[in-house]
Amino acid sequence: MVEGKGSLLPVTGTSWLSGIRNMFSKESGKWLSTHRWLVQSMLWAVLINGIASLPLLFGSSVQIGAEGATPEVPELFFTLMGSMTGFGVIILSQSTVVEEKNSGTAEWVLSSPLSRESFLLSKLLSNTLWMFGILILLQGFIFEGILTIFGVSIVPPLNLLKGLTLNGVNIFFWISLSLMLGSHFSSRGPVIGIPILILLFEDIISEFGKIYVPWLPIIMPKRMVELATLAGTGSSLYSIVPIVTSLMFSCLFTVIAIWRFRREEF
Amino acid sequence: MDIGWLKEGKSIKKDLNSSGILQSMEHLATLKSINTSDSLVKEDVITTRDLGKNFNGTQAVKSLNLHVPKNSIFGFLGPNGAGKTTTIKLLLGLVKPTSGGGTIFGHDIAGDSIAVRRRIGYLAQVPSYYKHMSAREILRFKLRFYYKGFKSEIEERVQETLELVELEDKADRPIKGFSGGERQRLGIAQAQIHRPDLLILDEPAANLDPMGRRDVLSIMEHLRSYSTIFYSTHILDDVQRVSDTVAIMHHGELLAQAPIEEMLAGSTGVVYQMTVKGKYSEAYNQISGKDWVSSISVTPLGSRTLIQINVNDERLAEEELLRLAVNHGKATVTEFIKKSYDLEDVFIKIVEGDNGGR
Repeated sequence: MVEGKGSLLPVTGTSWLSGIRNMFSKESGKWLSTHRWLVQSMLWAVLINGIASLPLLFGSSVQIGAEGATPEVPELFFTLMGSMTGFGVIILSQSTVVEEKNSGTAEWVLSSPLSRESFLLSKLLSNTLWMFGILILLQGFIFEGILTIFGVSIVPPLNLLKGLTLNGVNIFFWISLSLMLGSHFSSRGPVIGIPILILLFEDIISEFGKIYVPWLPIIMPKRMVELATLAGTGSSLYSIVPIVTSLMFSCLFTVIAIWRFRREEF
Repeated sequence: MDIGWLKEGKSIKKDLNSSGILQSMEHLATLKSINTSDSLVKEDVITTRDLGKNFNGTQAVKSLNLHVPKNSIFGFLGPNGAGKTTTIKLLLGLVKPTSGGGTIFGHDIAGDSIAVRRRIGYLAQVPSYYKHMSAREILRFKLRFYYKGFKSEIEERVQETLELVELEDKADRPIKGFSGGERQRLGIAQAQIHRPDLLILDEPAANLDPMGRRDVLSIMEHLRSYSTIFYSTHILDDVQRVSDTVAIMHHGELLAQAPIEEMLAGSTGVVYQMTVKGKYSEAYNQISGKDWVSSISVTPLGSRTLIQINVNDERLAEEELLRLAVNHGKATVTEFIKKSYDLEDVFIKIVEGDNGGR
């Protein structure tokens, strides 16, 4: 390369994380510049907080202003968050890799000094952070605001943080699964279809699967939703196995995605 | 177009001259009776050794041995499906070779692809960019893979590049509204924004109208001052206009590779074309009997006949050919020309020769 003028300095290095900073910045910019963040923030505020606050508006069992009288509302909030955000992140992540492979943008961007690992990891990190921020954290803050407006005692911050973090682990699982499927397939069908089938038929898979793998029910993603709800409502967790296995599976999906994507030809 | 900064490019020959290395090498070359200075100037940027790619049993590229000299505009020719794009993708590490290998600037194309890509600018046959970005954002994004620095410096380079390809007035519009020519100019801009040592362009002028083609070729000619340009095409007029070295590929095989003058000069010998009216058999017999005639062919053209005479002695042909035709028989010569061969003739001859051999 011709030397840069002034203070332009050449980026050097040929590591497996080459180009990740720039790619991560671009991926994050996609959320900001397209107003995706705003649309998703409003959508999930309606879907999670809108529904969770219905008992506050109409429920007869809720005594507004009485401390500790609304345990069902936080439970509803965390259950809604856990069950709905799974579908949400699957839909939002489905085109992350596939679209780039099909449109030719992956070919274009990988002709730069960007490693394939950086390409995938920047997507995983950016999507996880933005989705965690918008679908989980922001909704948690909005929920506390709603409880305050209705004069109901808020969820203790530590419990809220625990519940939100475990929901974060849950969405990380689905994002990494989508990433892995996206690196394997070239159409969106399997990338969105397989995770949604798992989500919809989790109980059936668990019931039949335990005949052959007795510990299968404890590692199913649904357990994470249960644990997040328990943590959020201040109950004690019955096991940490689902957390560990969820994180392990997420890492495994990421490694498989990288392994497969390194073999991809454009 | 403001292309002042392009003049920064320095040739290796100039550098070597100033350091006195070239003189020493030339002296050594004289002693050894080899043209070392020439080989220095023509140092290869791209070298492949038996490079091959097989897609599910189909051999897209067969044992390719390519040598692209530094600071050349290298035209990579071939009909559709010849294996040009696959070769380019092999060089960029977008596709993995099934046999052989290659180097670019001494870096292995398969094992050291990041180092290779750091010195390359690439324009795809069908360039595709992120639709939510404007031209300015695309250039900024691309530049940051190669350079870091103050925002103002980055923006200055982006602006310079936009001006080079005359897209400054559309820089902040979404690229989905761009015409084919504008997209191609943006493609060239993003390929060379980091001023790479090697530009790889896949069909840069395809699908463009004559004005768009002219613009793209003009930019390429300007860029040659600091970059080696390796580009694939099937538009032979363009190659003859801007290239200095040419390779012809067909069915995944490299059929020919040479400087363009060499390819044009050494391919067919000298051919004269004569259009005659009337009986030409006597003249034909007289001409075909001469030692300096390599071959002769006859093509009826309605009431006239086209005779093509391939000769191996141009001087004798010029002196005798027309006289033989006029003085023998009753034919009237209506046209007599020395055919000048262009790249299209050479290309067709080589490719058809390859087809005939199958």
